[in-house]
Amino acid sequence: MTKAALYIHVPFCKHKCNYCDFYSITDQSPKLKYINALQKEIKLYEKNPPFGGFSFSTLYFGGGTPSLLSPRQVEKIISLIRNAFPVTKDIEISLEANPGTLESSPFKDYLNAGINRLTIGTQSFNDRDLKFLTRIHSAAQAEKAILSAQKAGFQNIGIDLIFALPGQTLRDWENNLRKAIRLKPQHISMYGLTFEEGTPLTISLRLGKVEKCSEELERQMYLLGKQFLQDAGYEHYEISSFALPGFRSRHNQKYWDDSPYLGLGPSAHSYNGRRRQWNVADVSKYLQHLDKGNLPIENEEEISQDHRKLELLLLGLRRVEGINLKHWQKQTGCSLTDQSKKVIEKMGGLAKTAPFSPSSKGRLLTIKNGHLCLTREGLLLYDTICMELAEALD
Amino acid sequence: MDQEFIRNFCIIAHIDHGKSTLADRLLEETGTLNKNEMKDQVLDSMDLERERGITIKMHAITMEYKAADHHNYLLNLIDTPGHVDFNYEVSRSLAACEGALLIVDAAQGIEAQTVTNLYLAIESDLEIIPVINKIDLPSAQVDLVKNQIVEMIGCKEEDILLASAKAGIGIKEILSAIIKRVPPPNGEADAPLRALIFDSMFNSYRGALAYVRVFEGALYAGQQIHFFSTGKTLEVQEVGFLRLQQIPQKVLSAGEVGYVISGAKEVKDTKVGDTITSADHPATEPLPGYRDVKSMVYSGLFPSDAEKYEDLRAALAKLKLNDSALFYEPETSIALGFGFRCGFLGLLHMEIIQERLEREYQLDLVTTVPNVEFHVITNRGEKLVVDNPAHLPPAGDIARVDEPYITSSILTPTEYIGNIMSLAMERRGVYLNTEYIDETRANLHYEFPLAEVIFDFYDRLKSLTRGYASFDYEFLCYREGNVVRLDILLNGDPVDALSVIVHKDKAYEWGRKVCDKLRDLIPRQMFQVAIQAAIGGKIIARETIKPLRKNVTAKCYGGDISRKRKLLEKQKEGKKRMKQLGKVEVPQEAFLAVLKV
Repeated sequence: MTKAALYIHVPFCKHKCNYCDFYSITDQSPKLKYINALQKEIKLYEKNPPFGGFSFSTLYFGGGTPSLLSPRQVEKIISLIRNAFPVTKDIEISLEANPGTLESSPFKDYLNAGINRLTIGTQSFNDRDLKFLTRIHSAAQAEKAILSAQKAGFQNIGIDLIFALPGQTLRDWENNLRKAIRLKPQHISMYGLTFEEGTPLTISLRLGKVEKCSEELERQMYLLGKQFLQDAGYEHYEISSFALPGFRSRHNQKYWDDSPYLGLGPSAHSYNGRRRQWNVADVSKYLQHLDKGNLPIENEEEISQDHRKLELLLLGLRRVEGINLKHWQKQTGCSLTDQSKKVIEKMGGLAKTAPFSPSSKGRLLTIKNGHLCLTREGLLLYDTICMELAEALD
Repeated sequence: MDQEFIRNFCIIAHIDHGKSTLADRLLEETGTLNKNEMKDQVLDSMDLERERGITIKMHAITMEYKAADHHNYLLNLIDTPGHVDFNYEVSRSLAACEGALLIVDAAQGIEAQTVTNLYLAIESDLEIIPVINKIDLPSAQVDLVKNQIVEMIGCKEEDILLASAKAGIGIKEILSAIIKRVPPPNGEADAPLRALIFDSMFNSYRGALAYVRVFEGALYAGQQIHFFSTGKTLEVQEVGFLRLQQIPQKVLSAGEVGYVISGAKEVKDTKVGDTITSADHPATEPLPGYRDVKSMVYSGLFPSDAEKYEDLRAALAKLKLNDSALFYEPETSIALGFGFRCGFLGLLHMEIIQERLEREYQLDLVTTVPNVEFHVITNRGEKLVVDNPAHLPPAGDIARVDEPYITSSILTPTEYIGNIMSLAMERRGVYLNTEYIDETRANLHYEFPLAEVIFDFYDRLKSLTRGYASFDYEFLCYREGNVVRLDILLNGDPVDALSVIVHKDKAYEWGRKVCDKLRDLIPRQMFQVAIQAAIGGKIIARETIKPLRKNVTAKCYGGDISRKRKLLEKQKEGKKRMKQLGKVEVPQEAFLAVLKV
């Protein structure tokens, strides 16, 4: 049976952070109605499963701020899921937690509710950074949350860090990394700050109120982070993801593996290998649809063979391990290395042929153990390399 | 028809002064067209003409009019193009007439183009009938314009007619003046045939149609005719009058205007200005004034999609059928692939051709910087004609380069003379003199290197004079010029399509501006891109595009995948439109931007 992933979007936040473009609202009053509707959505899929034949090996509460759900509410949702769908024995159940919502120290209860992996949205251990990002918590709160969760018995904790903040120095970033490593979370994601369309941060950028960190500094920060975390025993397994051995995010890997996933809740996306559909990104519309007994789907798309190739490329190259060339051949019926031979050659031999290459030391792409993967230098130019390869696929 | 009842006339007017509207009114008044057949400005038949409000190509039409003396008259209106690029065609249509309506806008007064054409008309001994048009405009300054006209042509004030073509005022008076004042033709009907081709057009069923004015003798179907300049002899298939349709006639006789179909396949066989005579009883001399039209401005035209090369060739061939002034030959560019080197009469002609190719033939084009034709004398004494920067020999082999000069007149309100003089200085103008038409208007005479006016000269002139100045020129001669070839290099490799031939004193500025523009237009690549401007081996300007150092999407989870894929698809489309020069990818806009330096 194919192992699929299950995602539940919890669309509530105490406060919206200026950089975030995930769907959420700050009015939490419809929370109970939302849980009710979610229950209906689960039931609809149970009766008429478009994901028939799948069992779920991961469940992920993402948001928004899933830690605005009480442990009891979480427990109830987990039990609904377990009743409605086949799940594997060793199912990974993750919950994203905001340190600003954990004052009551609900860790033990979340653990008892069935959560076995906690990702704590730390972002930074520097209060100035947190203020800039309009987070609702302090560095001390984040640190306390991590320690408390560990104390409560969580053995799989992940934290997020953001770098390349305006005004952040390499030294600031280094301090952040040191602090993170000292706390020994099992998983660390480090993201370069992204100016997403429509966010207050991007508006400030356009108005000239904030200034982007230089590309050169961002590059150094990325490489420093990679070095630090790897030296501390973390495996680099995806562009932004690092984990101690055995603690990779099984859920997120499903996306990068092109596995099927079912998304529940407003704005959640689902994919079964042929089709992708997504829910309305609007709590009240979500409630209305389910009130009428309809699935809250906003739209869907068929994934054509050409689309699929692009997606396999985009997802596969995110993984440090790279694209499994045999899998590619099986899925698309053609050879990636044949089709993009010129690009691979060019990226692999750039140093010799282009006197202006910045990567005079190295190559951007390489083939290792039957996988096409990015080199250290290549990781930094992921977007451009995808573009070049995508062009070669035509 | 008895020549006594024939009047051949044309209209001289500046763009926008209402020539086409007046022509429409005349057609209406004479019943040549009924209201239903009227489209606004019937004589401008190309959409492009109607849109730009200018006449590019001439047309002719015959009107029948019962005058106050109860006689029926044939009035042949020969329309003239209103732009400096088409000066020669204007002179030929003037030569086909005995009289001209001089139309002057009551609010604008006389403009340079009008003055030039007016002098051409006076030289051809045409009877001038001045008409002040748009007298109903609130801004009309009828008295002022009257004075201008009196001074220009030395007529009496009462000879000037007042009209508003738009409102239909003064149309009858104009018709009656044409009959009274324009002399009838007086060619010998029995003399050997001499007919002037003043226009020709291509018809896909019938071949080239020549529009002619018969001066002497007669032209009829079955006649063997001889073309003086091409030396060809053909048989007349049909002759006739020009209404909105062609009306076949048995014969076109002395004094008459009409069309001839003679089996000529292309308009180049029926050249404007050529004289037709009878092959059996030929005239000894052609009518005066014929000359070959020569391209003045050259540019490379390339399809942005290489696969459209054949389409471009076919489109040019079709346009050429109807436009003997268009010249083209295949050209290859390392940067732009296969295309054509094209020659045009002037900038407007070039723009019109480009626009027609894009609009009527749906071609997406990349054009190179226009240039004039240079005459190069090499150290070995060879004389080369260079219309393409790529063909300019290395500086060390060149003894001398001659460039074309024009003589020009700029008609302007006196307050802008200072502005114009600075512009002229900037463009290497040689000042000749200033004529004052009245207290407020002056006619400045300058000589310019043609290369200096084919760029934005006209736009600059307009903006420096708030649109009031007008400009007219004609070819003067070749003179020695201190010109060099400026190359643009990307990572050390010259990009042929960006090379230009410029005056040495301007090369530095040109190079700096082009490098600057390219720096903004060429996207960053995975390696550093050096943009250099060079003369010979010497680099005179440089810009650097820094390499991409980090370009990586931080997050990609379930909800992001479709969005990221769509973004990639879009970028891929954009990339397809780039030209690969060596390793560097250059967007097509970069080639176009150079045109606007």
